[in-house]
Amino acid sequence: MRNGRLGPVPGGRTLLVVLASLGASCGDSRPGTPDLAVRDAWVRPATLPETPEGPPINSAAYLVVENRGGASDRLLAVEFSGASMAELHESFVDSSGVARMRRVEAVDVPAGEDVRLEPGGLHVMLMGLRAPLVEGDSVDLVLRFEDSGERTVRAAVRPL
Amino acid sequence: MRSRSWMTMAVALVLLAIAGGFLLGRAQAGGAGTLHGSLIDPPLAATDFVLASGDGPVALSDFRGKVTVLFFGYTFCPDVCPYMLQRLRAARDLLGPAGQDVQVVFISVDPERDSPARTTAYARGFDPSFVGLSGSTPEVAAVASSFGIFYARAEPDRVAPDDAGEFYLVDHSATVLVLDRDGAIRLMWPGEASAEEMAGDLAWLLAN
Repeated sequence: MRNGRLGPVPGGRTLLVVLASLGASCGDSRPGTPDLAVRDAWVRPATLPETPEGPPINSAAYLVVENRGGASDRLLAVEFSGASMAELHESFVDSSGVARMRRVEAVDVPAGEDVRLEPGGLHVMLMGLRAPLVEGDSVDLVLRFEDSGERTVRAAVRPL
Repeated sequence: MRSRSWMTMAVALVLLAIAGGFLLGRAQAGGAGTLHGSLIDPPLAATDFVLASGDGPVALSDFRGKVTVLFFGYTFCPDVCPYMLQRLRAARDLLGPAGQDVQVVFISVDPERDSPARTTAYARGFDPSFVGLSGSTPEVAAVASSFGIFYARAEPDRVAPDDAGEFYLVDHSATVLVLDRDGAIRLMWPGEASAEEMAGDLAWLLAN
């Protein structure tokens, strides 16, 4: 254990300094609180130009939540004013090859981890769109977390 | 120097083994052994059908001569169907000019909401070459059943109770079927297949 990173003394002091600077790099997070950042938010375009029936009523939003803090948080809901309903859902393929979706009450965001909402998995299902979602535009999503409260993020309208 | 000649021999053997493995790998590249989907061997004759597009009736046999990709879904599908259709478009693009011999056909398993015009417009929204088909409820049921595709309206508890009536979801087989130029089923892809995997399989099927 001569080079063991957790070896006793002489390295002990260095370790403390490293830990302290790691703490500082986590922004203003205090131990025991989540420190969230939401990034890479996007929404799938939804237009149906060639029929008189209007846009498809559904789309989905995807994003990444980073938690650099020392405590977990939970994503409880995502709101989007452009749809009559936005819900957290998870797509999965069951053992017989059938694609299914289930509603998710909340998404856990563990301390120190990234949670990815991406196609084919966790996503925000947007139903009853009030207007087409056109590639190149962007929309605002409001994320509601159990501890961190509300966060508004801008999501690009783009294909995969 | 006995040990030295032994070493030389050992090194030569190792090199030979590596070269052999390399050649074997090359022989297999482009062969059925590198396929990502499940090969249907012998090929299974597909039952011909006629469904409706926004431009009129379309028969499966219209696509003889092309490699035809059948995917069942619905236009109100928020996540899984658009994700697969985008990957199919990417797979076709990856093939370059050869992709013109690949025909993607999207068949609605939600004919109550998906009119032929809506389904066709939806499929073209992913790629102008894609064909989107729907039909009457019994017509769609017969086609899906003949390809072993399951679908059913999802249990209402999957969405918030207040909205369940208006916004229902449809569970459906995620499997994608690939037919060869003669119209026989040759490959099946699971719903998770990537664009690169599908493009590789299509390149093989176009060449065989």
